[in-house]
Amino acid sequence: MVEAHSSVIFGLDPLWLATTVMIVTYGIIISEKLNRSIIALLGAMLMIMFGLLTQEQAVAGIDFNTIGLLVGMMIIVSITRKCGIFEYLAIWSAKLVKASPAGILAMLAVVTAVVSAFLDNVTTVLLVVPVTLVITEALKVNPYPFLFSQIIASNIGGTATLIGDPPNILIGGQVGLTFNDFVIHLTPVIIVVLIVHVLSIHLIWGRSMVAAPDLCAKVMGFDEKKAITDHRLLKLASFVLAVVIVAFVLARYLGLDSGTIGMGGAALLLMLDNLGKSPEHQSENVVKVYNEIEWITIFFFIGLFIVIAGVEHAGLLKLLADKLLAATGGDFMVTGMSILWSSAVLSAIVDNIPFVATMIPLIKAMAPAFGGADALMPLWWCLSLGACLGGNGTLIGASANLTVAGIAERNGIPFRFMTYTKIAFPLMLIHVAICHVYLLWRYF
Amino acid sequence: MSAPPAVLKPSDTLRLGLQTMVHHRLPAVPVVESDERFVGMLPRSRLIALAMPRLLSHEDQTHPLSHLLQVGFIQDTLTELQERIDAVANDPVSQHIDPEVPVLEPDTPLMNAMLFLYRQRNILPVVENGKLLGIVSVWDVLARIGRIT
Repeated sequence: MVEAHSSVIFGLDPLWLATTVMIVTYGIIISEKLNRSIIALLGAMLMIMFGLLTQEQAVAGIDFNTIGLLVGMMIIVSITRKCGIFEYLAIWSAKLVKASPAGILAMLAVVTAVVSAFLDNVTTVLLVVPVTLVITEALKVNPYPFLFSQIIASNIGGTATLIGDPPNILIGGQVGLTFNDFVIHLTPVIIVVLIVHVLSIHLIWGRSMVAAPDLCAKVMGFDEKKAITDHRLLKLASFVLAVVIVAFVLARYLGLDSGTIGMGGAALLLMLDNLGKSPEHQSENVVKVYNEIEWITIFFFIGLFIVIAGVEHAGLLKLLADKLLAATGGDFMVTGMSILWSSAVLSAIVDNIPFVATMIPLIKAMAPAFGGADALMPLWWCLSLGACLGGNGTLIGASANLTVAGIAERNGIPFRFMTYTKIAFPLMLIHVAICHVYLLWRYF
Repeated sequence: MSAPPAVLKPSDTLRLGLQTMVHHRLPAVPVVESDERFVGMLPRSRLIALAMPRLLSHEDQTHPLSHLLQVGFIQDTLTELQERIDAVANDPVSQHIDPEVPVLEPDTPLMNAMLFLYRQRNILPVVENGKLLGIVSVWDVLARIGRIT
């Protein structure tokens, strides 16, 4: 650390220089003037070129456990979806409620939340929204409430597990929390929040939704079995997904980190999917799968990890942690609730990934004040619930929101910032208030 | 290059566009203002797209994950496809012009035209100073390269 600082250019103060690089990087990320992966990588390069980090320190700052889990899950999804299971699930659930619009509105929210608990939120909405649009077009009902509800449900469901949402992947990976920790501590309150969400959506839109009986009959005529194109792949993918989930549950006993499990599952499924194919066919197949990895997200994470390593080495996060502790008077409950609400409100306005990535080392630095790393556990739940659910507050709060808005606009469905926020922000506050009560009851 | 068998005005209805396309067996019909100024092409793919659920013809290139890979579960009948076309039949063709269609100029190299035809285009407009001079169709080219007279 000392070595790197001794070579800071022009003998500038490393603390101020690193802070400036971080603020400028985050500022440009928020302004959305440049693709976020480009700006994060540029920020990372500056940290090294200014002598704030050596290349070795920068590489050590990248959390390859998180990267491995993200890439692994992306590969698994890219292969699994080819068998049509996600279309099957959406249509099956719509038919389960006799294709009544109010029933479908509720069912698709639940399906989105459950799928999102195991897959990244953006991936989930990319898989569920297209089928939703086909169903709403057939029913001739306004698709907006469905898309709105799925955005919120994907962010809620993602909070339930270690692998559901990038902030949780980050927290789990960097703090060393397991899949089971998240299920035990977060899933119960997330189920309550999901029920409240489904009820609110029913009150706002569902109860007044109607569709002509012949249109419902048309959706009932959708044949979900025809969505399953590859039964062999369906069996293989289900097997690998089951293995991956069991491995997550048993991770602590197996001594495996989540990155290994994600990449291991991906390698296993790639192998099973390509066994017996000609070498040319295999190459073509594998390239297609790799092309569907969301490289923007991966390079964004890599750049961000280095930027944060830069400010961490410069001592900024320790300084901020001390200030935060002073502001909360070192009171554990006040600190926890401040983290919950500030994460929620900030995540509604800015990308929650850089926010959480910065908060993790900051909270870790508080360990001595609260009696060691183990005592910090409730603070991680405050951070996760605040950051993940806060993303629902505005249209720019989480990547899934913008993804759905983009697809909607391209399909001629207006998706405006204010129309969304007017309903979503109050709903988000209710969800965070439920978490507030839960956290107080369980941990403080 | 040959003279286009038919052209449309921007204000013509989509129904007329469809009739023209079927009648002349054209893969795309040039749309031209009354002063011969070239506006664009109405391609058959656009008319096929209008008969399908909207989502299928608006594939999002930035998110390949959102493309439905299998649509056999949608049980639309011929009547439903016809109804979708009926709903837009009176739209002016100007609303459905494909802006992506490549345009040739008199001095466009032959190889560029060949590559467009190879990449799934069957008919290319030749435009000079904004005016439509004629079309190059895959049939013209096949006849010339195969010495078929």
